[in-house]
Amino acid sequence: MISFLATLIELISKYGPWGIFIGTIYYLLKVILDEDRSAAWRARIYKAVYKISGKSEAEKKYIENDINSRINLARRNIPFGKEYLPKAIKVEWFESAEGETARIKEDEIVVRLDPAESQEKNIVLLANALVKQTSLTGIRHILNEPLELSMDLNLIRNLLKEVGDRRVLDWFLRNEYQPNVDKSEEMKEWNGKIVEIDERGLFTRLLLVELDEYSKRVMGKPASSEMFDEIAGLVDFLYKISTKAYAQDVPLDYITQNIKIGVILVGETSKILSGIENYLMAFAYKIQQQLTSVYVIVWDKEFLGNIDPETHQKFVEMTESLDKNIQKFFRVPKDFELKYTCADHAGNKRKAKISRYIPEYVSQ
Amino acid sequence: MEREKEVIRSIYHKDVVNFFESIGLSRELERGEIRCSVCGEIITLNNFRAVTRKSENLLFCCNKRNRVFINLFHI
Repeated sequence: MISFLATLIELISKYGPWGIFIGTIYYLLKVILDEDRSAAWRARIYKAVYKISGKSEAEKKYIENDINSRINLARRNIPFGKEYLPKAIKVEWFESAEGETARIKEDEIVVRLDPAESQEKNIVLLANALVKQTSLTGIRHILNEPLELSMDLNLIRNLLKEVGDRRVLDWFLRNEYQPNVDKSEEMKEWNGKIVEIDERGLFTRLLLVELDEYSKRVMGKPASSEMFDEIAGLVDFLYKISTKAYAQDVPLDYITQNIKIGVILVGETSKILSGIENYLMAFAYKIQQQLTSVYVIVWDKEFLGNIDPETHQKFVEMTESLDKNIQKFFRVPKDFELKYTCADHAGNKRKAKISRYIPEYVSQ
Repeated sequence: MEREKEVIRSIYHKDVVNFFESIGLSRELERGEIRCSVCGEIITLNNFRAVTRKSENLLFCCNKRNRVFINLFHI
């Protein structure tokens, strides 16, 4: 909305009264062409109709459109590699033809929704259903309950945070998140690790991406304790990176039977400003180890841009040069690059960038 | 372009009776023969929250106040 108003003001200052007309047409087109935004408008209209008439049909349309728009718009802010997580949702009312017995499919979950007045509860309920049905696919049978729940809870929390309604998030945190986290010491431990990984921006951008790859590699194999250990080890590996103190050495490669990943951290300004050769050597070493994906994670000091813009600019240029050289010398295609902001372990705000490279030998 | 969407079938709060009729279990519901798969509570029109099918069996879940939603999906 704020960006739309800014565009509108710019158009008015440029074109005068015609700017309002152009701006309105632009906004309407944007809404019409975007099914989630148009669902949000439909929800507002049906809500008003329901408030006036009290009709069930209007209430159903409001509940359905409101959930579809809010969850689907929210998920666009949760990058999962090149895609978004979880999948888009479509609420469909359970109906059956008269005289016919309705069928519930294997593993399908059919939920009863509350009246429109308890819409926040409905949103939380369906966010749960969506995350459970569309994430961690193919590995749920390998995970133990505390780890599975921790990942689900944090994914739902992220989704509801993006919904942007404090009542919904508060309801979830009070009634769902905290009671589950407090269930056991093991739950607290796993959840603590997932939260740290998430705060550095590595939960949906790295952990879930690799778990998705993992599920493809182990497809059709029965679950084993070795498989669980591989996944638990990956979480520990990322937790150590996420909580790494300045100048502390932590493992930057994780190699098991089914997971072979490497990480290059770019966080120390002085180190990269003196040259990118060390990083390129680290990348060459990872390629030599036949890793299946290599991540370059850049944690930029946000305040550097304010106190020393020149050094900051140089830092940005060096990281861009590193990316170009990796692709040029090693001929590794970049799978994705995502920019985001996060807080470091000390609570400082950081600009961050994560790039994933997949060496050519992986697809051979 | 149509996006891939997860369809979640939901029951309108005023349609619970019709729902049990449509799956052919309204008599069992009236007689109190359906129990919650998590806590064993008798399922009623008021406390019914969700149903799923596992290995051909229908599993129901009630909306006990202290039950958190996520547990519904780990029936």
